Amino acid sequence: MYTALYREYRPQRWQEVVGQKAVTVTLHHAVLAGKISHAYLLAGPRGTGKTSTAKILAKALNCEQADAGEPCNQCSNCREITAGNSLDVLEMDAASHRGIDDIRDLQERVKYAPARCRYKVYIIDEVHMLTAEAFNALLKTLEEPPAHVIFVLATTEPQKVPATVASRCQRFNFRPLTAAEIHEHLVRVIATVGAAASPEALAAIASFAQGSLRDALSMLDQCLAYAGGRLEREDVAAVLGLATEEWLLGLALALQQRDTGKVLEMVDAALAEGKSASQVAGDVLAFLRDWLILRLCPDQASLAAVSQAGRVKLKSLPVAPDLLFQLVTNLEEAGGYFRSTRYPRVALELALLKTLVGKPQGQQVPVTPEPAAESRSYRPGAAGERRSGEPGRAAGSRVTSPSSPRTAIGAEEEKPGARVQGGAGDEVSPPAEDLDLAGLRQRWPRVLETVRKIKMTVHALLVEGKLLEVSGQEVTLGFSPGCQFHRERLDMAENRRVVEEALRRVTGREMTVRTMLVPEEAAGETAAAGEMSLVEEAARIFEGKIIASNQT
Amino acid sequence: MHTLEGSEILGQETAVRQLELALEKGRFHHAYLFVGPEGVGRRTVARALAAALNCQEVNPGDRPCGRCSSCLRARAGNHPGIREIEPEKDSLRLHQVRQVQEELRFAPLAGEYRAVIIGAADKLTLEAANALLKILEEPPAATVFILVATDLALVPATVVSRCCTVNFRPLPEQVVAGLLAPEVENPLLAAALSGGSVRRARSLTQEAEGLLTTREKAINLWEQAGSSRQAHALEGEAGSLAQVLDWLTLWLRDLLVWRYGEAAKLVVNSDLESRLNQDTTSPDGLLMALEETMRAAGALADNANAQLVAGVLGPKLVRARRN
Repeated sequence: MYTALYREYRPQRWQEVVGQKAVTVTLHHAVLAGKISHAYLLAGPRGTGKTSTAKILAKALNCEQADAGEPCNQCSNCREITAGNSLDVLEMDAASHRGIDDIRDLQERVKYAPARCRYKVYIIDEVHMLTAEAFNALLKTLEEPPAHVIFVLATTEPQKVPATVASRCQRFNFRPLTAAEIHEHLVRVIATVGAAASPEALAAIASFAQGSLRDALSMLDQCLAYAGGRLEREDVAAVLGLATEEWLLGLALALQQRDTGKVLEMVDAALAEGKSASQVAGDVLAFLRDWLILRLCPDQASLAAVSQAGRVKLKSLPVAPDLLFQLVTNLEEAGGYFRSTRYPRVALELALLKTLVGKPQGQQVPVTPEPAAESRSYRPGAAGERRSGEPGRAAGSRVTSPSSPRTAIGAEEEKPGARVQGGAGDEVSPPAEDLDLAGLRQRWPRVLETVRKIKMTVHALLVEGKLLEVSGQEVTLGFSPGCQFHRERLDMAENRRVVEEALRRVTGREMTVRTMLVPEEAAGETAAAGEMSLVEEAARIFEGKIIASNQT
Repeated sequence: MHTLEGSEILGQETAVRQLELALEKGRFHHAYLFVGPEGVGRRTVARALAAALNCQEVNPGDRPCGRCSSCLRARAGNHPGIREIEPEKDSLRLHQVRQVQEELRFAPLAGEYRAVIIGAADKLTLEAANALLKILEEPPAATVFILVATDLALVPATVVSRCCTVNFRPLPEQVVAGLLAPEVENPLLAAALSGGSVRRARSLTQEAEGLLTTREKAINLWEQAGSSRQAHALEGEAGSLAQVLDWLTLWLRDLLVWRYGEAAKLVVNSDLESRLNQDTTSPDGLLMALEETMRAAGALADNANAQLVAGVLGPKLVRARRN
């Protein structure tokens, strides 16, 4: 029967272990120098070489004709160990033999001298599955085993191994492999197998394997079985159900343009190809991460798994980081529904639509009562109480008289088409979408937070101000007469620069700050308006009428 | 590849092709993980594959033939080389895995393959999954594991890493409708609602009150949710709440898709165009209602009290509808 690639190409020598130099070199030298510990703990994620290393160690110690610490893989000892039928190298599956009786059994046999090898090596795999009693029974033997015995414990979950066990072992951490290391290894395997594959195909497998060489080889196996001749990226995408980059870039464009129709269609297409909604969500999340890297940290572009052409395309899409963050949040949230609902695709569609047409839900630190009032969009006829200079969101970016009551339809009108903004070629943070008063108010808590991080004192001044107006590049803040001091201090050039810097970081635009005095009563009224709406809401919920309102 | 009964396997071309090619090219892996929704043919393919390994038909393309003695035994479910294990009380337990290990210790009958079909790999307990690892990585000679799972995220990464993952997709509507056609009145609607699962489509059509009555109920609930007197109407439906919520989910989703989708083909309830047009709820209201409905359905799936779930959801729908 056919042997899987990951079994066929299991490393048999120190040099063949991929990407774990720190571990293999240390162990190799320990063998050479004869400084062998009696117990090792090998920890690391799946498919990084723990069990293979344990076997190589066993062979290196017992090989009859070892060459400078490398096992020969020819002698009878080596061959038996590789085949797993050596009398002296015992591979124990701790997950199926996890009880105290299994350990007692082991202790019973530990004391006998090895039959043919120099050392008796016990490889205890999946050691984290031993029961607490079994671990404790092991302690004494593990600390002072007979001179001919070596324990090698291997686990994917070292945190489940009791400290008392770990402290008796030399611990080696295996790290997840990088995509480049996996890629390199796949190229070697392909050459040995005598197949052909395009670099893109192998790169796709390498990045999909998430640091595990065994995953990569399983996938390669599967893809080679599927591919006709040369293995191409399309074969890999078909077998693994990967979202293609074209699809992801298309979705990015649709998202950026807030083209809901296109987004829904693309999701439908992906699902019809056989991906599950949770898989699509996962692909999109991974892609959003790349997009965010390209958007916010262009210097670290190499961290993003996007092709050169894809990068150029993404860079040409002016997108507000907020949209991406919102997408990430909503998709994460959708993840909660995937398991419970019978219609996972609805959860996915909901997450995307919510981002594109729903009201943005920032973490609202209510600096003014206004943001809170804003979120109650069903507030009927409250316009009269709104103070002038504090227009509702629907009123748009200009300061107008607040006579337009905020209606539900208002939100729909906001559904922007392609909001592409040219100009201002700021490399570090390219300009975001058009920013109106409502948009800035939405982000105001983040502006405050950023200011606080830069300079605490400025934050203290700024919280007294009210966001009044945004026109073009100018932001106007209002201060009540009682806060004259705050206003003056904030007007000082160095403090203004702090605010402007924060605005630039949050919105990605260069803005200037202007301050002005506003009458006292205006501020008072705002608070009242906030409370009024509470009463009204109560009235609305209970379908009652307000007869008298007694609040001071 | 055919099913053991000799009929064609529909709608899973990529998956089936993959397995056929692996068999033909002699690159058959020792462990496969079939991932996909319920009722799309994962188990059917797993059984066919297990039978194909031992089929006596000469032409590899025709395996499983369904006629040879090996296939007949597989069909009857008493082939000695094919072992299926299914969850016991919602989970696959350690002792079941141990039993399999025990059986695999003995050599197979001369020249035969052994196949172990693990019915729900996403229901393996932590202990059982760990106990499976070693044997899944290096099983005895001529042994093949076929694991079936609905949610890949629930299968431990250590198990997934040892298998070739084969994706099964939701069946296209026409395929589901075609399979239902002889038994059901309106197969197309049931197919549209099934989310591509034949099993789900069948159970939908077997609901006591019939598909359309429940749908009508759900839509009426939503359309009348404008008045707070309706806030408790949902509690009256506590008996069939799960079905009502399913319909409500689909209806709210359709309203959203109808408004933002531009492509009518994405709508499930395409026969109710005029009612879809009538709805004037704000987008935020719809989003909120849909989210709350899905949350309620989730709670119900987690064994929450139906009466209470309905009681909580009702007023929220009223609020969303007015939004």
